[in-house]
Amino acid sequence: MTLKQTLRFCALLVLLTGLVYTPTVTMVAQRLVPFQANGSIVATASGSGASLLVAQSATGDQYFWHRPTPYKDWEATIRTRINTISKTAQAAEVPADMVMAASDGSDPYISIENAQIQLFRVATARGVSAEVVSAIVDRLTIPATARLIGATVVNVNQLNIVLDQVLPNGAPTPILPAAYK
Amino acid sequence: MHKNGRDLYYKIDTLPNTADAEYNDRMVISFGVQLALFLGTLAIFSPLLGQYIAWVMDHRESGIRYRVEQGLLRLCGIDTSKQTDWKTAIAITLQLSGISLGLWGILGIIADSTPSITQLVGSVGLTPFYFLSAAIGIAVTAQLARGLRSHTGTGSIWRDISRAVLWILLPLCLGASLFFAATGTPQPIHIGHQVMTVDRTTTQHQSILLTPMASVFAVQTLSGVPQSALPVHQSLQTPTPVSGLVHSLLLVLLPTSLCFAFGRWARLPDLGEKLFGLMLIVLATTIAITFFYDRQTPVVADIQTLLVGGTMDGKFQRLGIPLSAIDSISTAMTTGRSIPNTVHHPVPHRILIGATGAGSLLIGSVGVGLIRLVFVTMIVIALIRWLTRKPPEYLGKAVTGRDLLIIIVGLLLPLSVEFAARLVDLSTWGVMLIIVGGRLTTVCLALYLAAQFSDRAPLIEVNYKYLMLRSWFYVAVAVGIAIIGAAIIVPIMVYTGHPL
Repeated sequence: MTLKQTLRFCALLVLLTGLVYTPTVTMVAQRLVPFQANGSIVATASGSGASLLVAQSATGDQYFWHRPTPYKDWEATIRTRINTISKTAQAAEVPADMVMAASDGSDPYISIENAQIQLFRVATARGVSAEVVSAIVDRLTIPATARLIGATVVNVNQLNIVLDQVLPNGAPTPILPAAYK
Repeated sequence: MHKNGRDLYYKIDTLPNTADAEYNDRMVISFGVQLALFLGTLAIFSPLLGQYIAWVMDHRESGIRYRVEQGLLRLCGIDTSKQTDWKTAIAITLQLSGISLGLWGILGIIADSTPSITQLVGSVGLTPFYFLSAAIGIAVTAQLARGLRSHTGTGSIWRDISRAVLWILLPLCLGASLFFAATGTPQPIHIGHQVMTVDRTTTQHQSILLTPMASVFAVQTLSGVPQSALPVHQSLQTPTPVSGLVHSLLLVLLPTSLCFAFGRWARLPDLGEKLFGLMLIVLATTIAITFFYDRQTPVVADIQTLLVGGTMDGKFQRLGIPLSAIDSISTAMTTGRSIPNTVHHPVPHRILIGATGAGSLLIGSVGVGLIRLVFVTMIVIALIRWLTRKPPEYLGKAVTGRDLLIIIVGLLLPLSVEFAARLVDLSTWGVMLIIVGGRLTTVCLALYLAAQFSDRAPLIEVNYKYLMLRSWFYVAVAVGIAIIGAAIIVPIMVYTGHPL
């Protein structure tokens, strides 16, 4: 007796959420905030792309590295990183976010200190002075909301895409475009 | 999964503070502002939402909203004109939860096939389960309050559940999911997405799991159900600091609002304020302790390098240590689980274990924490009145020794199972089953006691010598069980400090 009512109620709820709630949210979100609703994905002229909100693995010396993933080779990764840092920078302190894994490894942001430690390596690999890369990092720094909520960060995906556009590999542009000075 | 990191950090027993004083001061100020913002927003919105919930659940039987409810319930062949007795009410909640848990389990089993399809089916299929979980919590709180305050019965549970879904959860979830979508949580039409990577030295492609995430994440947050085992990009859930703060707020908002609704139903507004105050104090203290320890940076034993920036492991850089502390505690207190992959300094780690247990007693997922808090209050009042040689009562109704015994066993049993389960490594599914099982025990207990209380006339202070004599025996047995239980469980938990 009650089981029949319960089953019907569940069916009704599945219809209500599946046919009304979810589609309504999708429709309104697609209309009002299409970029965010579709994963904040940006594409470059060379055909590559990235979501600004999901870390994309970049291991080459000419790119900034995002935070390590917790799943595999965590220890090996951070050992390599710390060795590289001690070779390229004179930093005595390593930012925690360079070594400590971010949740499921999807964090696209790194701290300013982390970016500054990587500056030398990226600049050397791209054959430009550290000031040039530093200017780009400054330009792309995202401050904390209202200066108090959250932390000041750099988006690694955005940084790497901009680096490729402004300082293409192998042929470093000696003069920085006005926008990035 | 995260063993490497954890093993390394756990070799350390003393953690130095970061040397940079200015950096620390800035972080403490930022923490103060964010905690004030979090607690202040809760203090403003909980009473308002509480009043609204009380009004919606008790509105009169006419008007357009009533006709919509009646129409939908009639479609299911449900007659709301007659009251549901406690056995039927328990049967209904068990069946509803059983069906949705079954759905949850089936979706979990097929979760190993194509990720995107699983994601879609899983996320959309889980939505009704989340709705039901929260709606049952609100409905049962209303039933218990009515049982305590009237003797005309507790009303139809079907009507309570449908009102909670239609007029409380649907509007809240619509608003919340649009907010999350605006901050970057995806809600696409086409699921899944593959991009060519920017750096192609090691990989050429990256698959991004894009599914209707905002709508699911909103209702999951509001209902306080632990995250499912389905794969997600965690960074997409709270991509901005503001959405991190709102996520923490939404997790605790319904549980705190129900305090005020309960106070209104019980016609004792200051009771609501006191319950809310207690929740706020516990939240503020645990968040503060978590922050002050996580702000310190561990020395990784095997790597002789000085780290700066706080215990960032598992936390999002964009949220930072302060906001992560707020989010960690809110999640642990409501869902009964910690945020996946998050590692804390050993002290907050133990606090979080405590918070998941204390949280399920205090704040909990929607309604359940409040109901348990009311039960604990009943026990405490009974004890005080026992000492002053008065019969136990709560809100003007007699509480028998049998009630107290049932309450203590009913509270202790799921809590012990929950704690014991943390000592062994369980899959997400196992933990989920135990947490949901514990909640259902409380819900059934509340429905049974609501019916018992509603049958009792308000207390008149005569004739209770007999009741008092009988109560003493039960109270003594109950307290004995509680002390033995706590004496076994708590030291084991604290000693082992087992990962959640």
